[in-house]
Amino acid sequence: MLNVVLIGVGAVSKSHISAWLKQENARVIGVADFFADRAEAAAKMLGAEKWSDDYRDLIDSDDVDAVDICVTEAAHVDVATDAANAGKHILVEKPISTTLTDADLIIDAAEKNNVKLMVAHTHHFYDYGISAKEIIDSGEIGTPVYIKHVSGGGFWQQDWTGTRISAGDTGGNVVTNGIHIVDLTNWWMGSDPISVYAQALNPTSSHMEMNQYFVITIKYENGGIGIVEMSRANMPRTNQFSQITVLGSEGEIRTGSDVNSQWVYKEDGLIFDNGGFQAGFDREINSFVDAVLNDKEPPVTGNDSKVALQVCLAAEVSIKTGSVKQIRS
Amino acid sequence: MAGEKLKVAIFSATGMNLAAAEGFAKHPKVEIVAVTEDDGVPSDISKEWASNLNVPFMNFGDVLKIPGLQVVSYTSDMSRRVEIAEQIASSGINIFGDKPLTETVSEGDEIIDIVKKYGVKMGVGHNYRFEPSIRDAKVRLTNGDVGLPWAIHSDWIIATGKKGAPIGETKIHGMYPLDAMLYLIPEKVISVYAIAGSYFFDNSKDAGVDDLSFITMNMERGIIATLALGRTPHPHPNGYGGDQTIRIMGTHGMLYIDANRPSWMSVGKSGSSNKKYHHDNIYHMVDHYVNSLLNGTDHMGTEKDARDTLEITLAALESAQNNRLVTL
Repeated sequence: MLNVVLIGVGAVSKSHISAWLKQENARVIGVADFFADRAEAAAKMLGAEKWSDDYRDLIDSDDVDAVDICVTEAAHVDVATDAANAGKHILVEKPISTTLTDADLIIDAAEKNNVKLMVAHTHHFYDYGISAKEIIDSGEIGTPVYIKHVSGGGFWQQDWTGTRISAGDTGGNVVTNGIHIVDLTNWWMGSDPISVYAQALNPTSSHMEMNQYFVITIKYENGGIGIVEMSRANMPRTNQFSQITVLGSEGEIRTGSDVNSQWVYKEDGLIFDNGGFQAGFDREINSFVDAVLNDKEPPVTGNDSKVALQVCLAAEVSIKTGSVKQIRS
Repeated sequence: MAGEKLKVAIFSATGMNLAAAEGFAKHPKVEIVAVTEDDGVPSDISKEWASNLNVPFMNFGDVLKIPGLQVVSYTSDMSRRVEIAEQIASSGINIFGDKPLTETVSEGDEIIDIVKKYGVKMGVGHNYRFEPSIRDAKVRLTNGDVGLPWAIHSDWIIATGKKGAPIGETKIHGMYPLDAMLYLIPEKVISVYAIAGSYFFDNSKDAGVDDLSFITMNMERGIIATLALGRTPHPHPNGYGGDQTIRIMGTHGMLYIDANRPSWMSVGKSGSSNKKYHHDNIYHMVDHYVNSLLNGTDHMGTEKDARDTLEITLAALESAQNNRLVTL
């Protein structure tokens, strides 16, 4: 049985909690959050006996095997390195960190302390992500050479003041949200990114620091082209247009809004849904538990996430400078 | 004038000019009067054309002397584009030209000067701006249905190719979607970044030209524009001849155009396919040009439009070669 401490019970932790509750070989025995009442509520939901407003009160205990880190992005480095130095295996939400230096600190700490490090890139575990990878790996479409992933979402409300508007805490929209798809594209392409060009706009909430809309163009070592287009500026807000194309040397696969399993016409617009949102988190947690209990390499390593972060940070530079950012020669 | 027919000669009924020639031939206000070719020696297709239309095949010089000739619709080797355009225009005859307009931007500028100097009208075979769905979209945009556009994206990837275009897909096909995009959002392109390569066809690899490219542009007013362009050897999963889509994001909505639709999704004795209807953009292009000449009205799809798309195309290829942003 794997004993886990959940650190941070903000928005994303709800899906983690749901996944932990389904585990047969793991359990959450402690919860930490900056707000003690939130930690207590989550602990009770999970059947955990300990909670605290300081994660350091919980992670040193010998009966803790692993931590699940769901705190704000910029805080990952402190929590993860402390956990590694305490000898605890680590599942950390994406992005691994907001800087490459921090990513290296986390990766080095995990290596030095011989603990597993997995980064929670959920799209790796959604049905569409897995099934595309299976088709690619089967050789059915030959070698992937072009991946275009368009994901759209409704605009951020003008008065929304969630943490995502603070680039200092999260790294910015490209880093905290774009990294999902950048990681997925890297994974599907199976090659290292070598340069990045990116464009961004803030068309419907121009007062925000963070870009609502961006297009990242990635050139890969194998010559492949990756395009990540992500929008939180769609009008109307119900417009969640998506489109994914993978061209291979011998075939192609496509999916998108028009092949969703559910179309719901509501008063305020059309909603697409395929279900399966929670299943991604469930598989993600399963994989982490399996990696720790069976001494396997996690399916998304610290280095995988660092490479995705490198692309996202390069994209931010490219957006600011208007030039192509070389990652490696 | 009522009942007047436009006299048109066809210079080389090949390539896309064949499609334009077919459009002219079936137009009720057009009379094809001759077929000609660059060297005066008719190819089989030109001979067949002349025979089917019951018009003479003539030397080019003689064609230009036909009384009342108003249009020469032409295609030629790229190296002869400017020279032939000048011969036509200097005879006071209007020009309908194949795409790409020219090999280089400076040659394109020469054609613009020639057209201006001789006071003729030139149309260029960028037929997709005349696609009914794209014309309809233009009306929607003009009406403000999606508000102010802030991004435009096109996928234009031909399926089931046998081989890559000898001069590269970007150069031979890029102007179709680019022209349609600039028609829909007539803002200047400021800078271009592209990745291009030969991914599918041996002949493209051997010739060092692209069969797939992704071009991303920065337009005036901060608009982002992208174009995925190419040709694949495999069929399209939807039975399409390829992708022909344009998506426009606006402050008050989104507009999605699929030029492969409306269509019937068909399964029959010959297999499955996508059968388009409501589609004949080449005829609409010819009709627009013919009416502009007969009525003395302005027309679109001009040599200036063609020069702009050529400039972007060449900038994209330069960008792809050097992996850097190219400012226009």
